[in-house]
Amino acid sequence: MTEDSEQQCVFCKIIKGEIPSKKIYEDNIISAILDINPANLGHMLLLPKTHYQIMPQVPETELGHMFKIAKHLSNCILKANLANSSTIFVANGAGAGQKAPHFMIHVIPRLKNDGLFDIPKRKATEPELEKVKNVLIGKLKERLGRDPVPINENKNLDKNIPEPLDLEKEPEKKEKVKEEKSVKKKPKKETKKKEKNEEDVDIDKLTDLLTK
Amino acid sequence: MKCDICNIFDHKSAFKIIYEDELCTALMHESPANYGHVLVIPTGHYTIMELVPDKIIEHVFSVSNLISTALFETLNIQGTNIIVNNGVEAGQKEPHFYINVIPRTENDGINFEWKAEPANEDSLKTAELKLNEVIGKMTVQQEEKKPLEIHESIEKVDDEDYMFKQLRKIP
Ligand SMILES: [Zn+2]
Ligand SMILES: [Zn+2]
Repeated sequence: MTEDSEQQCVFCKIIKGEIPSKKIYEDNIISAILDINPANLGHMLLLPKTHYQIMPQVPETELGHMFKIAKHLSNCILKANLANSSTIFVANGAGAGQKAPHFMIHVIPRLKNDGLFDIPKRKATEPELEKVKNVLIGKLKERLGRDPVPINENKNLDKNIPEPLDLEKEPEKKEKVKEEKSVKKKPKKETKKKEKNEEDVDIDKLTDLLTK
Repeated sequence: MKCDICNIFDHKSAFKIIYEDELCTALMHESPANYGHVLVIPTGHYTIMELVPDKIIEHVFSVSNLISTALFETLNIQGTNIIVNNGVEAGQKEPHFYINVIPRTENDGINFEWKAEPANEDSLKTAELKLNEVIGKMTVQQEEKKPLEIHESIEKVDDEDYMFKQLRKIP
């Protein structure tokens, strides 16, 4: 991450406005632009304003912010009727398909049978899984300074879990309801179908499709 | 009918769990795309990403980053992919949001490439306009406090487990 590579970096130039782009979102931490060579139309690139080459270099709070905005932008893809599904994609390292030396998150609209991001499934043996599990637990223990899998796991863990955001509540104030204070809301009751705004994404339908 | 993924939390000993805290669990995928494929799953039943509270999003991706780093440091790999296929058309099969952390090696046979062809300028403009309109209305909750640090774990748990019981009732 030398100053030199930063000065050469196309994405740093885009962020500074030295190269034109279709910027669709900006705050003090990130810029989001439309990919001009998209996997599907509406493909967005979320770029940290600081030049980080790979994900481990991004400070935790910035990374959290980036993925949070990725979620909101994914929702905007649905609302803009560009697609009903999305993929969040990070290629971390050239061997993973990273093309530029500037870390980014892809938010990609997904269309039926677009053939993208098909995650293959392979067979794995029990000893093989056990081995890699133990290797990873060892490394995580070293990094965290504690056991990554607490022993009293079943006693008190399953508490204090925020409920899903309730996108149905108070449709007239939908934006607010959706984005704010979800953690403090009362538990969701059996939801009756309420009338919806025409523009609203039918989250129920989307989730129903998955439940069936 | 109970969600297959929620079901994991009731039968933890049957799975290869490598990380766990109050908000999420990470385990080895039993049918991995590549050796070392990990799933990071929030404890709460959120069908799609849009329904996951911001605080949880920040946390589960931080944990994914931690695991990605651990994969780098332990396996002989050339990179990692973080992937969420969100929604039916994206190939999501289970009604419970989760994150894939996939180690990448040379000739691993995984193809996440797309054809990088320039989009038609007019359709790009249209997409830009549509997005600008909805993004303009987007309200992101401002940070009131820092997201849960990975290092602080499960010390503080209060007695209110009603929230979780309620969650269980929701399909
Ligand atoms: Zn850069
Ligand atoms: Zn579930």
